[in-house]
Amino acid sequence: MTLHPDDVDLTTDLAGLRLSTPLVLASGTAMYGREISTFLNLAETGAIATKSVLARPWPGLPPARAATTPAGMLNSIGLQGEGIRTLLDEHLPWLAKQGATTLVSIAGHSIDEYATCAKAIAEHHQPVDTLEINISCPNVEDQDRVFARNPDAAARVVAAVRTVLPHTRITAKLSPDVADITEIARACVDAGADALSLINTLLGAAIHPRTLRPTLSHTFGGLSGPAIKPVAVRCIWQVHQALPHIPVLGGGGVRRGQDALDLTAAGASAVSIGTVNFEEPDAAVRITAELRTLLASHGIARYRDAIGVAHRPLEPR
Amino acid sequence: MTRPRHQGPAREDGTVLLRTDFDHYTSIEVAAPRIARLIQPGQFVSVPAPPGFGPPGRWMLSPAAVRRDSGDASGLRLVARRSDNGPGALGQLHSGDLLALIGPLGSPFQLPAVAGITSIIGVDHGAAAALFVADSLREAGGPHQTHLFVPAPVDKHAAVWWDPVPRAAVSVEATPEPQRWTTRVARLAARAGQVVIIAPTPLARTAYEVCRARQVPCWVLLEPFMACGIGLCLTCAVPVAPGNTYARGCVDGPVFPGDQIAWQHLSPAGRPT
Ligand SMILES: Cc1cc2nc3c(=O)[nH]c(=O)nc-3n(C[C@H](O)[C@H](O)[C@H](O)COP(=O)(O)OP(=O)(O)OC[C@H]3O[C@@H](n4cnc5c(N)ncnc54)[C@H](O)[C@@H]3O)c2cc1C
Ligand SMILES: Cc1cc2nc3c(=O)[nH]c(=O)nc-3n(C[C@H](O)[C@H](O)[C@H](O)COP(=O)(O)O)c2cc1C
Ligand code: FES
Repeated sequence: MTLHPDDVDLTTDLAGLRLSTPLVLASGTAMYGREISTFLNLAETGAIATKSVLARPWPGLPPARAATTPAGMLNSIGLQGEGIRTLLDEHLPWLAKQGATTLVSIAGHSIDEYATCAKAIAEHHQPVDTLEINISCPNVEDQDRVFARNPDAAARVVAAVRTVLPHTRITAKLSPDVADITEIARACVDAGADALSLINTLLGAAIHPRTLRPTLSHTFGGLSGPAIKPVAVRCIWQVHQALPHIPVLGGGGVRRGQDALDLTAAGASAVSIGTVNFEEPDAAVRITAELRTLLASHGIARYRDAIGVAHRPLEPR
Repeated sequence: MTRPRHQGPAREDGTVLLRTDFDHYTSIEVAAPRIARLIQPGQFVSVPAPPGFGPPGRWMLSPAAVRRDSGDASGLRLVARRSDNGPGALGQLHSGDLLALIGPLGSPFQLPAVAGITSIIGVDHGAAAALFVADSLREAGGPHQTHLFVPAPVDKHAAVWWDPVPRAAVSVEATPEPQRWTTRVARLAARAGQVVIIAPTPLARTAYEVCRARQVPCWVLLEPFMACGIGLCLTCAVPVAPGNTYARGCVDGPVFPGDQIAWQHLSPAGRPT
């Protein structure tokens, strides 16, 4: 008997966070929801991860901040943002009013800064249910070494936030630019993360064809888009295999339902979409529909049954 | 899933009515009644890049002209420099093709009434947006003069977009060398109550500096890299004076008063600050 796409149950769960569909708007690609809400009904989108904020307003890096490459884009925004207080006072209440499910992304240039963000959240009357910690930030107290690249540094960030917010659901967002991603994943989970988000962008650079100088003012930037999908599949696979009970928010290069299904089969419990929002701000609608159709065509009635399916041997027909 | 109804920028599938290739430019007429009804000078649309370009796979274009009185055929004229890259891909379109537009984007010009004429300067594809500004000033009855600078040679195909603006109000000339650009702009600014400049960043900066020296208000349409055009990505940062803060070029701009731009921090791609 063939399954009708409308009969597929897309609900999923990320460490207890219930999502009506598995698609999450990736941090930094939908700001705080207002602009994209003219294209998408946020209440009907799985969730939105807000743009990472620091403890205070931050200007970010000078232009040029982006470059096009054959299968991905480079960005070096440098965490421009209004800071945690504006997020809590203005943007989260607005998102709540829209009925959006929200992951609040915080960042820091020092462990203290992450802790300051966490304190602001703990003291605020607007409760935060789920936090995504962006640990792909340079640590100014350690020669700008990125927290996410060292298991101890990554664990110290997570532990600092966990101490301040003992009951908040925490997901740590990992960088793929490491020798062994499972080592970092374990360190974050041991330090108190309930779930993991992977992957953030890969570090890259571009040379401008006219000037033969770096295109980005910062020289290096994060690569996102289709180019990084195979890396995302690999990382999700490795982390799911090493820590099968830890839910993963998978992302990286998702443009179509098939990409979302691939990341899910590798072990993701939900899937984020980033760069695709820039060219198609209602991409979540299309990708969700495609995912539904694909699951039906595979005879999978519940999205949850597809999570990590690639790790199981094929059953003989 | 349902899609929300709203008045802001939206997707609209335009239909290409006509494509014309000139020596240096391609121009297309595209039917897009919703955007045509709403778009104001200074605002722009994004068009999808063809497969193989990007991401980001959208290009920003400012209309050269807007036709509002043609029912379903109401739409825009878009112009791009002919090339194998970027918006030059307009050259691959054919009549009847659908074009997934998003618009109108950005904030329009808010030109104050001034004593004297408004001098509108458009360089290269900036000539397109300049003509749309000129057309709306003509409708509003504001005294203005339009100066288009395009690649040599200047012949009857040089500035293909200038109807419906009366030709008497438009001059078309070859873009001068950088040294002569300053003196040319100085002559134009000398007669102006305010200047509108739509040009590559280095030329726009010179024009602004000439205006500042003469205390002539100067409005600049900037074209920073824009990945989304709708305020999602922050790639389009425009440093605002005195520096170290950034506006979103796509939402707060693309039009800025020249005095508001921290020019020294605005480096074109690939040029060291
Ligand atoms: C508001 C606005 C209005 C515009 N109106 C017009 C118009 O009417 N006609 C016209 O021809 N052009 C227009 N442009 C410019 C156009 O959209 C491109 O930005 C420009 O052509 C890129 O030039 P380039 O190839 O020299 O890029 P470079 O600066 O040399 O960059 C190299 C490469 O980077 C990528 N890139 C650069 N800029 C962008 C961008 N904005 N978005 C995505 N990728 C980019 C491309 O792959 C490009 O080839 C407009 C731009 C803006 C922001
Ligand atoms: C312009 C831009 C800004 C981003 N900003 C953030 C950010 O603030 N915090 C964060 O955790 N990730 C940020 N990211 C990374 C995305 O959330 C996502 O992990 C990455 O782009 C890979 O997914 P994609 O290929 O679907 O874009 C940003 C990505 C882009 C392209
Ligand atoms: S182009 Fe994306 S925010 Fe301006």
